[in-house]
Amino acid sequence: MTTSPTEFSEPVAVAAGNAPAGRPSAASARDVARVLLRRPLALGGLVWIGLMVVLALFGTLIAPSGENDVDVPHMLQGPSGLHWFGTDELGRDVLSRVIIAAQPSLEVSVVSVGFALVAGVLLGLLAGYYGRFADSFIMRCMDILFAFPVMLLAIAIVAVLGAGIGNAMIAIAVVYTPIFARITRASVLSVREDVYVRAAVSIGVPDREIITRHILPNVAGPVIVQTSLSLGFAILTEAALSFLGLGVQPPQPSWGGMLYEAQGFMQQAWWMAVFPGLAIVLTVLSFNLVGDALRDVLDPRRRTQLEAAARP
Amino acid sequence: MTEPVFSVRDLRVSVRTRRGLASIVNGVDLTVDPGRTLAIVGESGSGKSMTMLAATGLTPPGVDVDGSVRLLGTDLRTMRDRQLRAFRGRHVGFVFQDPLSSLNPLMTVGRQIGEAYQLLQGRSRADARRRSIELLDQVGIPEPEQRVDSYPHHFSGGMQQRVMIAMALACEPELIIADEATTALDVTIQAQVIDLVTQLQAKLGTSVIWITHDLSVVAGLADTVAVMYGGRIVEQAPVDELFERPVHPYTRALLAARPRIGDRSPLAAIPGSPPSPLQPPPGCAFYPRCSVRADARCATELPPLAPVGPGHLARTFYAGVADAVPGGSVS
Amino acid sequence: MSDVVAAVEDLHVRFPVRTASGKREVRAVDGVSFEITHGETLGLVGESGSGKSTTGLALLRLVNPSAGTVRILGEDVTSWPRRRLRALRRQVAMVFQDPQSSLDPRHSIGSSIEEPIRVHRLRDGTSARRARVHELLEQVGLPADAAARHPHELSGGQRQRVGIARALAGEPDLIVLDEPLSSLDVSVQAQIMNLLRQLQDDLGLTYLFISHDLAAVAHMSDRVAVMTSGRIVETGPAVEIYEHPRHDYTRALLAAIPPDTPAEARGRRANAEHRSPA
Repeated sequence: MTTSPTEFSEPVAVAAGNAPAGRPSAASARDVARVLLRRPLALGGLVWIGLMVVLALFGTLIAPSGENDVDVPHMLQGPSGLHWFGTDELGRDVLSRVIIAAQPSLEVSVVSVGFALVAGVLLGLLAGYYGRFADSFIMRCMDILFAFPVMLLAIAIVAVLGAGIGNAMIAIAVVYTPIFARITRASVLSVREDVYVRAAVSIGVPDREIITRHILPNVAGPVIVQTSLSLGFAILTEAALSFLGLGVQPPQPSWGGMLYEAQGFMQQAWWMAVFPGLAIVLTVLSFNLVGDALRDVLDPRRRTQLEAAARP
Repeated sequence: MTEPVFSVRDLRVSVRTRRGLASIVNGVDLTVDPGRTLAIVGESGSGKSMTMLAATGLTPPGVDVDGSVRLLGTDLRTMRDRQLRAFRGRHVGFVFQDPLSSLNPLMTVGRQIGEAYQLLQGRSRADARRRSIELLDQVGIPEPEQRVDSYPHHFSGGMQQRVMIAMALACEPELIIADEATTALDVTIQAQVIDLVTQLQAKLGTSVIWITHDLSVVAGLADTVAVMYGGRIVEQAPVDELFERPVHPYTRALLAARPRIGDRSPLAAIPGSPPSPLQPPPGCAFYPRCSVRADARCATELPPLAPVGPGHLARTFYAGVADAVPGGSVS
Repeated sequence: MSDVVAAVEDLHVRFPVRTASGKREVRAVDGVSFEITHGETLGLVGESGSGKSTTGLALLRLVNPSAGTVRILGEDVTSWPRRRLRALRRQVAMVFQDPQSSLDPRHSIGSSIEEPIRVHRLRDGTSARRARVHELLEQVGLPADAAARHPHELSGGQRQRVGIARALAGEPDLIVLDEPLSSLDVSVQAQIMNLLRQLQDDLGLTYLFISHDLAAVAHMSDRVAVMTSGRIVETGPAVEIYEHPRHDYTRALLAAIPPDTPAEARGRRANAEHRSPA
């Protein structure tokens, strides 16, 4: 035995000024929870998203009426004790429709962003790690997609494939893949130069394993943040597609579709547009707030600043 | 007895972190006389850098500073921010460890050197440029009239550090603070930079505080040495006295642990690691690693900084005479 | 000469560089030759830009030689294709300069040390691997519970011990140490040097010790090669190099070693003044 086993003294505090150069400690789930709890807005956003998820799963059970319970004699009635959000031009309860419409909105958003995430991260990993030809080819393809305004591209894809909820998901997935690819690639480029990656290469770890075990976990942060933001935007995009009649098809209710139907009745029945609109706004806002909070936790540089500045 | 250029009394620095209160500096007293060099020696967690940052008001937000600091007779701690910045800029020059991150890659060297001169002393651009050329010459950069318009990345590491020194000298400060200024440099360049600083100091009469972990740098530079450990000064002496008659077991261990050319026997390594500011040991901070442990009080009582020789203070209960084997276990 | 672990002959490593004035070539290593025999430490000393780190990287094919040969245990590995490199990287292991950045912050210590064992299939089954990790931790002077911790929980010296344990895990024939002391506190450097020497004695290890710290190199090495601008200017037993340097550059390096005492510093300054009253 050479020197006696060294005791575990805490390393020099990552206190302001003494922070070691390089990445600070990786964020843990506990850190994430702590940051979220400290920000009322982000917390509110999280609660709202949770509520939407519940509605998406159990909407039909929760809603007071069915989504297509037509009741023409009571059409175009304002908010009342019976109908909290009023009724539309067919006498349907707007509240119930808003609740039930949560499901397709969230479903489209989650599924399409899910696909974009998987495809984009994969492409970004390949482009960033292998570089040169793979990088050029993949990123030029992404650049082509980026060149189109999101809505235009989504509309074009749906126009080619035909209207419907499934095709809307495909369109949104395609349109959101490039941002994930770009973000992943940027992170990979920076992580690839880190010494521990070189150390893994020096050990003889095969490329596939280096990517999955060392690079992927260290690029997860920005990707998670982007996921949260994209979920919000996907809801907007879906709403727009449905508004144009290209996404969720009636009689299945969707927030965008409800906006479309409300157009002709703006003067007489403002509640037909306002409540679905509010649902869209609050949901998108919530995703953004949570995404911002996550960014503060998961972006290594911001965390050092926060750790330094925080604490009364 | 002339008034010291810089004096610090009972400086304390702490940060509240997630894991508790970190006491980084625990009561430090320092003085620097005009034209003299004080070296502060310490390792990670000793608080040496934070002492200077706190004394000059450069700590990041969230750090608590206590104690009194006087520069040229003026109390720095009661100054308002803008005042402090002007005063500090005019009278203190800084040289940091990594010139590449201290120099703005988008500004020419001349403009950076002249910046403080122009802004703080209200000089014209032309004057500032002239001063930059003059300084580049003083720090030994060849062809200064041409190099003044070069960008930092056109210079080698050693030259960049010379540029930093030129920047530090721009306003003719009374005090220069160098923090690990030669650590990142090659040995040959390090020797040159140290020579440069000693020459400039002799010529301009500037006082210098040199912060380092390297005792050999100290041997070539310092008039007085203060050794820091665990946020406190554990030994302070004129440089000859420190090297010839070190008293504190940590100082002795540091001196003994240096590899000597020609001697390949195992080194007298100091076991363990420096203490964490979050968990300061009770009693003497060096006790967990000390092999001398001369006194029962070492573990529980903090030794006071007491005189042990001419101009020589040590914070230890062990005030033994320098014997053949300094403290530190041989593994 | 079956005793020779590594033999480098006329090694050249060139990097293309794009500058404002067009494409140029940087000759990082410009014709380097040396041999390392079993159980010895060859010290490779030079300043920044000398090419010493690049030379070390070439031994593991982490950079590719532009010319010359690298032989490990007699086999010419210079042009080995990628798929054979895994075997090479078991034979030659590396300890990196900065222990903090050379360990994946998201992996536990045990996981980092286990990686070579897993990649090269040196132990069968999780418990056998874990036992080996504990064995390695003990060899480098770390407690067994270190395996569950993460790099940010350890001190610099402890992290470097982990780096050494990881290098040992592959049971290599040669360990290349690239500035292993530079990021460490002075009071810890001696510990690590003692550890490396002890391990070499106990396990019969062979080292290429790359450093700019002349005193450390003198302490660690049996033989020393002095490098500058991509070339080795002098090689020989450590004692010879330090006491009777023959090349001007070696002499300049030795002269630049910081003085041990203030008296020595003053002596040097007086000498310099005597010699050049400029």
